[in-house]
Order: sequence, then C-alpha cells, then structure tokens
Amino acid sequence: MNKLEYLNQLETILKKQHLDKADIDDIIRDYAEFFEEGRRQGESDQEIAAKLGSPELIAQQIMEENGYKVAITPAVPKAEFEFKLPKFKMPKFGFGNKEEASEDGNSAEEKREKKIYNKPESKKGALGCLGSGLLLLMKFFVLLVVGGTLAAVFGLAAVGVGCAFIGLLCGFGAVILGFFAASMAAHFMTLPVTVFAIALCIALLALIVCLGALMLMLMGWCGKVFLQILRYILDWPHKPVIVTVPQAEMPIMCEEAVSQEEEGELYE
Amino acid sequence: MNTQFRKGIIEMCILALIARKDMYGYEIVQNIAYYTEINEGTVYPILRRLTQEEYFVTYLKESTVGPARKYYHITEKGAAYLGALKLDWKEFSNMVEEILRGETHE
Repeated sequence: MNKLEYLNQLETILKKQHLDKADIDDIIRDYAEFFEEGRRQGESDQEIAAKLGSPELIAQQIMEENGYKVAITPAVPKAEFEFKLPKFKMPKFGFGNKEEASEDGNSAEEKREKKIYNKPESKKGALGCLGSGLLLLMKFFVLLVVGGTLAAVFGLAAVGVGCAFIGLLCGFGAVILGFFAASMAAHFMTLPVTVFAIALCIALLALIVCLGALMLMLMGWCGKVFLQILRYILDWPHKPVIVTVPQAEMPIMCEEAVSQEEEGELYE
Repeated sequence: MNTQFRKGIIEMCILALIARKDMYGYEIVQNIAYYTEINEGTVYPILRRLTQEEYFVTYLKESTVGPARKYYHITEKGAAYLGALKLDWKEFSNMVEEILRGETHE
C-alpha cells in the first residue's frame, strides 16, 4: 500500500466515524507528514505503512483516544475512494498526479496555519478548517474560470469552423450565381466578362475559406495560451510562496541526550 | 504487557520528551522506537488527545527539506500533569522494586 492508498483508506474509515472534517484533515495531515519524513529517511511507502499498522487500527486507536469503544471493520471497498479523486485532478491537462493534487491542499493549508503560531489546537483547527474552506472555494472559482474560458475558446473555435463552412457554401453559391450572371451578361457582353465573374467568385471563395482557417488557427493558439496561463495559476501552491528563514535541520534522533539523562529524570 | 498500562507509560514518555524540547511527530516516534518496540501508528492518536486536553500546543514550522512539520510544545498544564505522572510513577516503581527485592514489612 503506498502513501496515497493508505491515507485514502484511513480517510474513508474516519469519515464513517462521524468525525469533523477538520479533525479528519488534521489526522490525514499528520500521517502524510509521517510518510514524508519516512521517505526522507529512505524508507519505502510499504515499510512505513507496515510500521504504522493498518489504517483500521489507527482509526480504532483514534476513536478510543476520543473515548469511544468501537470495532472498526477492516473491509474497505476500493472503488469507494477511487471515485473521489478525478474531481480534483483534471487529468486532461496533466496537473500533476493524484498525489500532488492531494498535497496541494495540504501545503496551502499549512501555509495558512503557519501564521497561527502557538495557539491552542482547537482554535487552529477551526481556522484551518476555514483555510481549507477558502482554498476549496478558490479552487472552485479557478475551475469556474477554467471551465468558462475553455467553453469560450471552444465556442470561438466552433465559430471559426462554422465560418469556414459558411464561407465554402457561400463560395459555391457565388460561383453558381456567377455562372448565371455571367451567362445572362453574355447576351449583352462578350466572353471576357464570364471569365472575369468566375475568377471573382473563386477569389471570393478562397478569401472566405482562408479567413475561416485563419480564425481556427487563432482560436487554437489562444486556447493554448489560456491553458498555459491557467495551468500556471492552478499550479501555484507548488511554488514556494512563503519564504522562511532557513534553519538548521533538526536531528531525528538525539540518542545521547535522551538516553541516560531522560531515564535519570524519570526514575529519580 | 497490558496495552492500557503500556499506553499510560508511553503517554508519560511522550510528555517527558516534549518537555525537554519541542518535537515533531516523526521525531517523537523515532525517539520512543529507539527504546522499545512500539506500534508507530499509535503515537499520533496519543499526541492528538494530549493536545486536545491542552497539555500541548502545536505549531507548524517550515522545513528546508520538505513539507512543514507540526511541532508539539508542552503547556504549563502539560508540565504539571507530567509532574504528577512522574510522582505516581516513582511511587509505583519503588513499590514494585521493593517487592521484587523481597523486602517485606512485618
């Protein structure tokens, strides 16, 4: 089980336990952090997951710590949590993989939460919830903009195609009309007029077709540029928005310090 | 060992570790795992409860090598609770040791 599968499974189980959304997010954040730290130590997701124990066990532990006695059923149908993801990731445009999409939310939320230094957990939870809500709202709006723009682009492209077709039809019509006109005119004038009329119609047809094609190309280019811009906007949580003062890396283990000293403190 | 009993001890150890310096979850888990076999997943639920009981406050700190880490900082309430736990522990362990040494009170 990799990180994403593990966290999804845990989230699915926790959702069944009537926990607050903010609490669930917080728990998932904690375990996501644990996975990241483990990865940094060169452990595989499988090793980390094995050390953590099953998601059911974790959920059970959490509920017990909350004062509930529950037995969590281990069966988690996979289909249930695989369905939710496509909402966020928009596979068509390649906005990162699933995992990045879920971490987006986390990292942005962390940045929000970071401002609330040294506040009690409960307050931070509420604000974190607000933060994630805002983020969701923002993403919703961004998606609205994306959807709207895409619709506009495709609409315009369709107009371009339409123009080209109408241009073709008009051109043919004009050619036929030109023939009639030219044949009628031929009664009064000499041959060169017919030739002139046909030439004019063909020119007109070519002009309209070219215009339609040009419009299509323009639409394609506009769409590409829009997509790039929107992709940049949607990707912003990946970029280091908050620059913090670099700090020395904390040692994972402070073996010497902890070992004897702490024991002495505890026992004596 | 009885899980309930063990959990109580782990809880005290977590408080004692964080009382010395602020730590993040993985660091705490690694520190405890250094001394004893522990199901690493069970530390977070304990951290959560102790935070809910206002023994800890948490804050996020950007890390230079990865995502932000949630640090745990002991509160006065937590320090007081740890003090009480330590007293209990000392009393308890003294009692056990005395019995194991075979001392009897006539």
